[in-house]
Amino acid sequence: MSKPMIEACGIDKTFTLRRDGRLVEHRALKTVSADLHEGEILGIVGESGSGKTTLSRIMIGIDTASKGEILFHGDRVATRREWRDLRRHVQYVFQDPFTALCPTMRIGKALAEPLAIHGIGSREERPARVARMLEMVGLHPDMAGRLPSQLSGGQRQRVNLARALMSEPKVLICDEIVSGLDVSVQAQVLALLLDLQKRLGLSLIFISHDLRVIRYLCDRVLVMYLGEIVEQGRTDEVFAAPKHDYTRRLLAAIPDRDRPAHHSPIDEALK
Amino acid sequence: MTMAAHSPDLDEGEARAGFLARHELPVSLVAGGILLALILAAVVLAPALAPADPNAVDLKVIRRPPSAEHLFGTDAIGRDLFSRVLYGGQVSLLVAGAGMIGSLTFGAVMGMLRAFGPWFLRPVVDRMIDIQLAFPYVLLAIAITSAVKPSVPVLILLMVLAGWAGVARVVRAIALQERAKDYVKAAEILGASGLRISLFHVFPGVLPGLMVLAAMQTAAMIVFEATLSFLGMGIQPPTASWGGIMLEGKDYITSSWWLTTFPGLAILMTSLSLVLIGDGMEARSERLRAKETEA
Repeated sequence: MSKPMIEACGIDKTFTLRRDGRLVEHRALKTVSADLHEGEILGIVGESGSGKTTLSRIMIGIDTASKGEILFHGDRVATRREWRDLRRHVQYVFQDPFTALCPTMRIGKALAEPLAIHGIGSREERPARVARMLEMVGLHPDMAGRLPSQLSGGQRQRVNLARALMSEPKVLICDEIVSGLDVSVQAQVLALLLDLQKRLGLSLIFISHDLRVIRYLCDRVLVMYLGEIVEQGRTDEVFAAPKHDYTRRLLAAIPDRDRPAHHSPIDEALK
Repeated sequence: MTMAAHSPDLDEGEARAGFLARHELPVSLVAGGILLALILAAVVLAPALAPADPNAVDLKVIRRPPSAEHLFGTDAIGRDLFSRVLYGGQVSLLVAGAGMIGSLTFGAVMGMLRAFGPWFLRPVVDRMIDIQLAFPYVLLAIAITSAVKPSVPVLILLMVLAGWAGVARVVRAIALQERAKDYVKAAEILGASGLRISLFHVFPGVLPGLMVLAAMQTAAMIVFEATLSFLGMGIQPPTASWGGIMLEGKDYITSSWWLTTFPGLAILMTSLSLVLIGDGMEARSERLRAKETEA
């Protein structure tokens, strides 16, 4: 197997909380290791509080691990400079499309910013690049003149995707990017994501609590429970023969699982 | 009449709807703006409007009540009060305006520095704000004006010192709130520096609040300047300022009401216009936000 693009090795994360005036330590991640290979779509599932978002935030460096390290192409990422380099190639899309865009910045400027930061292209060719990217995510180039408050949730999430892709990253981490959207819009955004992944040869980490979405999208899946990875493997194998008790319970909780004749709207839409 | 016949009328009615409504201009903003414009025009055009030299003494007309010849009456040594109020406004408004700009700029920079600056500066800014807010500004003014002779630059410096901490606290609160939001994290992930994030992402969001603060701050500065002059720590006589004219008139308050009333009214009207503008701007930005979300 090829060398992993990005790797998390023995990550531990302890949050210190104040409860009833006493300091309580909460171990959100218990020595978790994960890796992502080139061109692969890796799903991370688990209920809220299982540590899946924390793990992804540590991988991009918005949170720091209490123990363990992140490797990028086999090299340890530690200094500010190394994180900066990593972020040119690894990008992140947030869960909430309403808070992830600066409310006072027009879409065109928000999309051109990564180019300005990394010095990609000349000032004159940036608007054209922005227009191309808007078309690529299925938005009209005229959207560049709009403010985020003038867009719908689905449109904003497309803009967030576009912004993350402006610096032409190789890895994209998507944290529950469709869970704030209507079911029909969810399917459109997922189809777009899959299309982009194929066209741009992206490696993807896709975090979700929705197993149907994971099954539709991912090659490999990690199941997280209370800060640990309880099961991992190829998506079809995990879904066909879950080994861990928690995975079995998760699978059993999929709505309409035993009624194939009655597909839910998202199943319909995903076809 | 049918419904269809009604609708063109309605559209026309909407098109004809007042200029104010179409541009989302609240009445308070317009009223305050007109009032302030009138006061500013009168003060700036003082050399053309004033009937007499503000410092010309005429002992034949001492403490005359308002008349056609002396619109606001005359003071204890026969100077024309109308001219003194007009010229006094130049000093008062200059000090308040410059003090507002200075305190707003310094306060905004300190507030943003607290939220996005290097970690070792953050507690320093916090303590500076605490000290400034805990220190009574009149005491500060007494300390400074007893060390240096009060002049326009000294007064402006005093205004900045008295005002910046309040501004910094507001900016700090907004900036810290914004810093926790995903869009700031997203900008960090895109590789943006703290300076870029604070200038291009957060500051435009702080600006409307700052404009409202600017109007209120100027009103407070005008009153502060008047207070200092009234306490004898402001611009020194014979140069007129609104607070200084009131100080000169206070001994005659029972017999010559006009000596304190007219400069007092000037202070009141100016503060009122600024407060109206501040309220109006706040209402306007709220309406615009509602309209934009709707669209």
